[in-house]
Amino acid sequence: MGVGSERSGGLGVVRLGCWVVVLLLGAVAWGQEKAGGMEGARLFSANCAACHGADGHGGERAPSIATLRNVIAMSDAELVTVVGKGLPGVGMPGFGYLGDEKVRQVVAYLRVLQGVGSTAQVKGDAGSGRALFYGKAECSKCHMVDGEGGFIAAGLSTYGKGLSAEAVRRAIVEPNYDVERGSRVVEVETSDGRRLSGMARAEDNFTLDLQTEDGRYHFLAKTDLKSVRHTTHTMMPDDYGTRLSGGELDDLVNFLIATGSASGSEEGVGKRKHHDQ
Amino acid sequence: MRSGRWVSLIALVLVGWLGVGAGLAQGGASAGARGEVEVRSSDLLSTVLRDDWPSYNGDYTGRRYSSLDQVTPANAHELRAQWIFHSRNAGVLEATPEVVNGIMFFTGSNDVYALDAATGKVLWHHERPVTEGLVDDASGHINRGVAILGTRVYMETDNAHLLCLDARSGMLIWDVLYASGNRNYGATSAPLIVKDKVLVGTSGGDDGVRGFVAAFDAATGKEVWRFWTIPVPGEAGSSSWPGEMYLHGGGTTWMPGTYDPQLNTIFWGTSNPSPDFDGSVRPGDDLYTDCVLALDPDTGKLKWHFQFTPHDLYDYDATETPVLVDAIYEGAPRKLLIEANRNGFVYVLDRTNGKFLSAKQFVVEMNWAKGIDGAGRPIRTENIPTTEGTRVCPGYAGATNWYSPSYSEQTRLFYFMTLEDCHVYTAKTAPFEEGKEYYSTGAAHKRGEKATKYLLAYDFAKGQFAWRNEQVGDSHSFAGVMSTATGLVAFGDDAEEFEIVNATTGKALWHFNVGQPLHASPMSYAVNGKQYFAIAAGSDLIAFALP
Repeated sequence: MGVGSERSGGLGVVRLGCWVVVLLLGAVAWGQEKAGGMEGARLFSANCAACHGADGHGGERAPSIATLRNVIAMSDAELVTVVGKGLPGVGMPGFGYLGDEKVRQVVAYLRVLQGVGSTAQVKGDAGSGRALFYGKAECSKCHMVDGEGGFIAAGLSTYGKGLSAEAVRRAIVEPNYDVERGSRVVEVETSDGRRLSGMARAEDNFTLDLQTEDGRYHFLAKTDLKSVRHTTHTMMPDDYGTRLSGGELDDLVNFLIATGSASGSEEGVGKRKHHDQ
Repeated sequence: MRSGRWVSLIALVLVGWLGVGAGLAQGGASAGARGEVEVRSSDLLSTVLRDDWPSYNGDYTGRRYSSLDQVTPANAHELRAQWIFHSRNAGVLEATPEVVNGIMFFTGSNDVYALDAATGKVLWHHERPVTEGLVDDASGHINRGVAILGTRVYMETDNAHLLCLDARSGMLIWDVLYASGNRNYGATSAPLIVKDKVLVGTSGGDDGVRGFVAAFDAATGKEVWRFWTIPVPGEAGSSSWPGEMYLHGGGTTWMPGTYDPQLNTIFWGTSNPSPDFDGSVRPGDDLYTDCVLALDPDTGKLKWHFQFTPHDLYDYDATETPVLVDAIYEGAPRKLLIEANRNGFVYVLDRTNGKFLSAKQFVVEMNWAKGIDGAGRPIRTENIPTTEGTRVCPGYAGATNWYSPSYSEQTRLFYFMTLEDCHVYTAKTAPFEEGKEYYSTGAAHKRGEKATKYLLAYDFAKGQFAWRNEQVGDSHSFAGVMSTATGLVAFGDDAEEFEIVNATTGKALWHFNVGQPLHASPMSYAVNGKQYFAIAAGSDLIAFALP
């Protein structure tokens, strides 16, 4: 059987493919005026921005709600509940006192910040995009869609669901625009001079679990490291804007959105309902 | 970073690993260096458990016997907690963690975690929502662990899907629904890998489903075979299942089986019949419920079966681990199968042919049977469930249950937890209804009666108990047992403590208050030369080691 054959065999042929969603980009400014309205923007600025940042990309006290996949994956109803009731366990207050209508306006504006729900026409051809994904663009060397592809970067089966074409395109051509901490490349040098580079899958003051491109985890004690460098970039190449034509990018964007919209997979973004036993 | 820099960096890294990897590969159960998951089906054939614990019971024998020798009776008192992993989204955890090359895989509800086995830190987490609308055990979203092959991890979900995940990332590769046609199906078990197949079973034996063991191609998820535990009309044994009763007869397969590669046979336990307490609608023996099935793992063909409790009226599932032991028995080397059964007897069978060799009553109070005859059939009493209620011992939680037993090669004793308990059983005929349990009424404690748990050491060669430790507690624990080559028996006791005793004498050596109910079985592994014990307690998984 073939399950043991997925390990990287060719040392010399290490290509980095298309690391689209180690990071995730919201559409940020695009179309901010369209949905949500001025009132939503004002409410967001007055109530949310102090912690989540003016653009929702996170601040000192709260994470990015514009780019986190599990936030984007929430339904409007769930977001309304969170905004209304807060998340006491993590220190987020409830804003139910604003009233249902204003809470809905805040959520609508958050969707704008996330680049979700754009009505803009998605150009390109999904079939051609699929061929690019698994072929010339080499996205599948690192990303998995519907069980096929690599493992080091995030799965993209559901990624495009609800995202605007602009947001997806930007994630491809500007992968280092706003990289989440967990998606940044970490480079270390060990006391005995070995250099490793990869993704920090777990880290505390004492240990660093670094996963390198071949999938291996390196369980490192900080006392054994000469240096640890948290870069601000992802593993994804940043030259897709020139490597692919405009039409090809449209195809790729179309494929990711179409795949996400069609997928029933919960890969990576599952939501749990608590069960009382 | 540009690709060119990447290539050089990664090449450097790879050169480094090749040097390190060659050194680490020696003596391990699985291929690859620390931090790499690569389990070959041949790796799973090893019955010497050291650093890795690559399947639910550790190895195919089901004996949960670790050859790690760092922790001994002399130093066990120095054990201390090393780390705690907290599952934020499960109830009481029932899984056994599995470890390959320093990576631990663990489940809670429908979620799978990969952990750094030395620190408990999460490397990846595959989230999947629990399923609403399930019945009975499945509605508790119980899960007992994963199976691992190659670079893939397999799990059963509460609604009986078999998932194949990438072991390096937790990403979903395929998802197969394997039980349909009755929404009372669910799954709670860890799958079992045999060669290139993933074997699964279901829950729902109290809920009117028809049991089966099914095998799927580990690469593609394509079904290869399915053995139905309840025969269709016309097949041998079908006289117990009039009309459409065969569709609701239970005989589910909710624990992993064991496997003998030399005999090319898997041994898989089946649950009680449905409905549990009303035997009038299922006359005769009710094959193949309450059995151990000997199946060909390539074809699913039945080689033999042994039924522990024909025409069960007491919920005496036979899903307890059928432990494979090679030993001298009555003067000759034998390939044995030992099972401590819920019905209160511990059995020794010849696993080459299913022949009954012995049975020993292991609970003090027993009134459903007077003993076991020379063919292995119970000699029954008249105590059966009635509309008024009949007190029967053992009770419906079983004289033992799914929590793991252990066989020590060192002491040649068979260890298991027992429950001294009785219930008043009532029965009344009722129709099957999808979406509802199918017990046909129930069982309750007689007022004032309490149950007691014991840790028991059985010398099956002599047919005697070596020792029996009464446990203090509320009898609600469901924790298993393991043993080590240094003469230790580790188990979850009945007072929310993880405990280690001397395997020869039963004398307590060490205990740790986990502060939560124990509904799981322990295991042992090693990372960087350090031996750990791990057991789930409540919503946490806790690892222990010497300082």
